[in-house]
Amino acid sequence: MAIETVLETESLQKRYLLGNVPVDALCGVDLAVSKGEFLTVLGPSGSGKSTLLNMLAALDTPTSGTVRIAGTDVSTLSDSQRSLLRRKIGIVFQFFNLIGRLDARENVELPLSISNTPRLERKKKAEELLELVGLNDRMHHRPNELSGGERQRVALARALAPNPQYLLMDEPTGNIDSKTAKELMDLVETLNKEREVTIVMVTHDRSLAKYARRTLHLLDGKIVKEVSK
Amino acid sequence: MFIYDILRYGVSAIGRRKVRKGLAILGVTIGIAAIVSLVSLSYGFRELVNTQFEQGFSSDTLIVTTETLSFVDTESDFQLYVNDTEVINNIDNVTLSAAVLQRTCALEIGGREYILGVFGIDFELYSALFPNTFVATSGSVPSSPDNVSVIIGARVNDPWKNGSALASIGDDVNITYTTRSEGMIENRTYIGRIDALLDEIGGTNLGGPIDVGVYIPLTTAQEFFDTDEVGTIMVQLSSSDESVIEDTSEAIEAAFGGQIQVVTPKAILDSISSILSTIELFVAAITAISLIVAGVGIMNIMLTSIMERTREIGILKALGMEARTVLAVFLNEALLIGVIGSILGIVTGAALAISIDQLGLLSSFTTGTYNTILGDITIRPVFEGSVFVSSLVFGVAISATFGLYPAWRAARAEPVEALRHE
Repeated sequence: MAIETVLETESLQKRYLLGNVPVDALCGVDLAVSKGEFLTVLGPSGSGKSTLLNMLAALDTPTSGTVRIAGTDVSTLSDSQRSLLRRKIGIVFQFFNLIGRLDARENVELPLSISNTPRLERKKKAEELLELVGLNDRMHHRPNELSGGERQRVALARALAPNPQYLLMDEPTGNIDSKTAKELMDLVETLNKEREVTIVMVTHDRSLAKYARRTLHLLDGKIVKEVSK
Repeated sequence: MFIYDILRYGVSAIGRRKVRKGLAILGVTIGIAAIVSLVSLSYGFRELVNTQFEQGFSSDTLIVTTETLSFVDTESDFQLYVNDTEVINNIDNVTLSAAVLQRTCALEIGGREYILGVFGIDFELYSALFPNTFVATSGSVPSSPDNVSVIIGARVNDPWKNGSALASIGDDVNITYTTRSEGMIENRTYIGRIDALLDEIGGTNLGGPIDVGVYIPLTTAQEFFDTDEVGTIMVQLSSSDESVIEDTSEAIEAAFGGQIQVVTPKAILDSISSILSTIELFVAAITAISLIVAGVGIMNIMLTSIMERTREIGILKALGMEARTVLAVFLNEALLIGVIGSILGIVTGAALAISIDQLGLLSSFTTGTYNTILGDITIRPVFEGSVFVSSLVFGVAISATFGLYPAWRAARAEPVEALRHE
């Protein structure tokens, strides 16, 4: 059976200007993620892993090389088309990035509201997802009334709301305690196994690598090692 | 994103920074309230002037006067006399003319004293000139009055407009005229008899009867004031045709060697109208400036808001919101400020105009005009739907204009950089 590649990069380079000094965040990354895979990109801070994730999320454009999301070269897309593409991607950030004045359910509903899902439908969906992440009694709490772990679970529910083909996670356990982190990762693992959600996670935490079937080690913008289970 | 969702999102954002957004709304409210109240009052003033003129004047009436309306020309010492009406009556198209001999006198009526204008007129001619306003509500205008006959305006008898009457028909009225005779101050007094009480006229009435006027026969006035000189002669023409008015005016001026002025009602109305237009324009300009200031306030607050919410913009974009939707979201917030501010401003402005009227804040102005050619007037605000609608449109347009740039800045933010923002 042919393995379907959903995310792909070729000779991916990204150069930033820090003031006047050019910084190479990514120096030729070749990567392919298959459908249903759970991939971890491990690397110390400054290795370029967040930049890589932003590329895969169509949030950033490469200096050279290509990023293909579901077979589409991102650099050929207009700003508006990239926005539409992002609606198919679930993303979980290290700092949760929830909207403070909206409660948990409204935060989960937000991507559905952006993609014009009717109100009742998105409300039902948000409630289902909050139940899935174990927050059914926290639906009307605002982010500042939730613990770090709870916030990250809201963020996960939000990322899952548009039924994404893949889920990108940037240091998802970076701001939560280890016990809550384990619960979250167990949940993510279940999602990957039972719902066959493709997952790409970037982290500096080696202990999280055990959840993934394949781990890439990133250093100074290059993939230096690949480990598969 | 559905428009409903954009609106809801905007409402939640405005609710977040209540004080700051409240101040932006207040800015718009003040501007719109100023527009609505001032424009309503100036419309009221215009309407007042128009109705007063329509009531008191027929367009076929001319005023012949020695008084110059210009501040620049040196005053002529040319005088008009009572029998100059004979000269005027011989001019083509003149149907009748009436001399008005006016002096300021002290009046004692029903135990109250006034200083008022006393007008010496020919009752019959004056009735013919002003058939709608020189009308008795009680008593009657005598066709052949005796020396003591007096006709008083409605406000003279009922100064508080509450239906109380100081005197009734047949009562005496003391008229005292203070003048100088051979250098000495001399008070002349005679006792008149009220023959008629005029119906309420309502004010402005150049040359015509007014509510605060006291009318005595011309012959009595000539004798009492000891003069044949008159300030004005009212002239009625056979036609209100513009060319007739113009030709006759010229003929009258020529008959007096160009030393007198012939004033047409239209000319007065036109000049007052043009003054009013200038005032209205000025008022509108000032209030428009205040709204532009409010617009700058909105822009400032929206820019601050967008700076603070850079991360939120990044999140929205990361979740797949298109640039134009981001623009719509932030423009909508500015528009909400404009709409709320405008509606509050319209309500406040209307309330302000009504309370200025109700509390009599303009009464010092109107009492100031009590004994002038304007007579007793009250300015009531006139509310026109078009003022409300255009205020709303203007308020919203200002907020949209000033909200556009901040919204555009938000829309073009790069998601990665916006998300990195602390």
